[in-house]
Amino acid sequence: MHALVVDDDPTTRTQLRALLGSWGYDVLEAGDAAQAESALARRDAPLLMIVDWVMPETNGVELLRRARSLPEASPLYVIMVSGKHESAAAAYALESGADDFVSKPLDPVALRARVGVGARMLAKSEALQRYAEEMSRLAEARAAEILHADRLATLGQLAAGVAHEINNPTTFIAGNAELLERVWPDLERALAQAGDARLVAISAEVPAMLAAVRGGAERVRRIVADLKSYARKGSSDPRERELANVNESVERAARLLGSRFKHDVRLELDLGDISACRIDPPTFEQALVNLLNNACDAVQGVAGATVAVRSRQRDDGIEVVVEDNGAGIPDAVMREIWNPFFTTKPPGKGTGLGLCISQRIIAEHGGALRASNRREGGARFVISGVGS
Amino acid sequence: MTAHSATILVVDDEVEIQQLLRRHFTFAGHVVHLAGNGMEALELLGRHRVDVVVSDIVMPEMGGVELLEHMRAAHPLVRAVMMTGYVTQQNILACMRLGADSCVFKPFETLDKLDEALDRSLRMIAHWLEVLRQRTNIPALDTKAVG
Repeated sequence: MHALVVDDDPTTRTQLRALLGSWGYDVLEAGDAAQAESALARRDAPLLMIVDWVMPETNGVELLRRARSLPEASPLYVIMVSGKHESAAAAYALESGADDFVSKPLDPVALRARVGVGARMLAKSEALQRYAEEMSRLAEARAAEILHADRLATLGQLAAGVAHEINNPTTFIAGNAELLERVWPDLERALAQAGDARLVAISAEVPAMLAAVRGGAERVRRIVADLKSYARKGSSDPRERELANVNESVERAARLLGSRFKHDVRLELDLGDISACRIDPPTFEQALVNLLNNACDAVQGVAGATVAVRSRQRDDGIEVVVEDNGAGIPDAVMREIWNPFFTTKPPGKGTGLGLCISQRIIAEHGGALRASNRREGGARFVISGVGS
Repeated sequence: MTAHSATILVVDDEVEIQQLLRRHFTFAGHVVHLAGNGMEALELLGRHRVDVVVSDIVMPEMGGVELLEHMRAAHPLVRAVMMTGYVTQQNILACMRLGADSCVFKPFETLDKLDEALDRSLRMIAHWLEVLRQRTNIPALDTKAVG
C-alpha cells in the first residue's frame, strides 16, 4: 500500500518514511499541499496520508478539505499530525475530514497502531465497495429477468386471446370444407358427364384437397386447444384440481413443443398405464413444458439428439421421467439448478425461473422433482408421487 | 337427420359462420333465417315462425344468454341450441338454466355434433306435438300452423 507523508519539514518526512517503510508501506513524500495533491491525483494514489497541520501557504486542514472534495476521491485514510494538544484542535481536525489526530512528538508504537487502524478501515471500505458493485450487478440482472418473466406472462395472456380469435375462422374453414365434401359426389357426377378429360383429372384431386383443408383446420384446432389449456391461469387451490390423466398432459406438452421436436431432436414417448388423478392441468403442463424445453436445449447440436419421456404408475403415485442424451448437469451446479434465477443459458434465453417454479408446482401436487445424471450421459429429471 | 323440414334462425356476429350454417341447413332441407345479434334475432322472431334458434353466445348489442331470457318470456315454444367458443362453466350453466336444449362448442370437430343437437331439439318438438295431438284428439297437426 502507498502511504503519503505531507510535511514541510524534511527531517520529519525522513523519520516517517523510515517508520512506514519498516512497517511495509511504500512511501511517497510531499513537501507542500501542491505536491500532495499531484500525488493524490495519480492513478495508483496513496490510500493513507499522514499530514502535518501547520505548513506554510496551504495548511494540512485546507489540503484535507480539498482532497475530500475531489470528485473521484478514492478512499483515503488521513492521520493529521500537529503540535497542538487541545482537544478542540483534535475535534476541528476530525470535523474537517481527518480520520485520526496525533500530537507531536510522534510515538512510533502508538502511530503504528493508528496506521493499523487505518489499514483495517481501508480494507473494510474496499470490501464494501466490492459488495456494492456486486449487488448493483445482481440487481440489474434480476431486473432484466423479472422484465423477461413479466413479458412471458403477458404473452401467455395474449396467447389465450389469440387462441380464441382463431376459433371462428377455423370453424368456418373446417365447416365449409365438410359441406363441400358432402356435395362433391353430385358435382363430380355432373362434371364427369361433361366429358372433358382435363376436368375429370382435376376432379379426381378434389377429395384429397378437401381432406387436406379439413386436416389442416383440425390441426389448428388442436394447437389452439393445447395453447388455451396451457395459457389458462393455473390454480394452486387443491379444490380446483380436475381428475385428469397425466399422459394427456405429457402429450399436450409435447405437441406444444412440436416445432422443437421436428428437425433434429427425436422425442420418445413411453406412456404407461396410469390412473387418473387430481391435478391442475395448466400448471402441471407448465412444469412438463419446462422440463421438455430444457431437455431440447441440452441436446442442441448432439448427434442422434433424443429426449425420452416415460410415465409409470408407482405405489406412491405417478412417476414421469424426462431424460436427454446431452452433456448432463455438471456436479458443481447440481444443487444450484433449483435456485431462482440460476441458469446456464446465455442472457435472454430463459429466465432461470423454470426449474424453481417447476419444482414448486410438483410439490404443490404432492410430489417431488429430482435431477440426476444418467450413466450413459445426459440428464434425468424425475417427477414422482403425483396424485397420491 | 330428421325428415321434416324445420325453420331455423341462425344467430352469430361472424358473417362466415352465418353463411356456413345457412348452406348446411339449407342443403339438409330446412328454411334458414339469419341474424347478427340478439336484438336482430328477437326482431326476426317477432315476424317469422321459427322452430329452433341456433345461436352464438358472445355477440355485440345483445348476446346469446340475454336472447334466451327474452325468448323464455316472449317465445317460449321456440327451442334453442347454443354455440360458443368460450367454454366457461358460467356460460353453460346460464344456457341450461334458461332452457336451451344443448350447447355446442366452436370450433366444431365436425358438423355432426351440431346436427345431433339440432336433431334433439326437432325431436322434442315432434314429441310434444304428438302428445298434444293424442291428448286433444286433433288430427295430424300442421306444424307450420303452430305459433
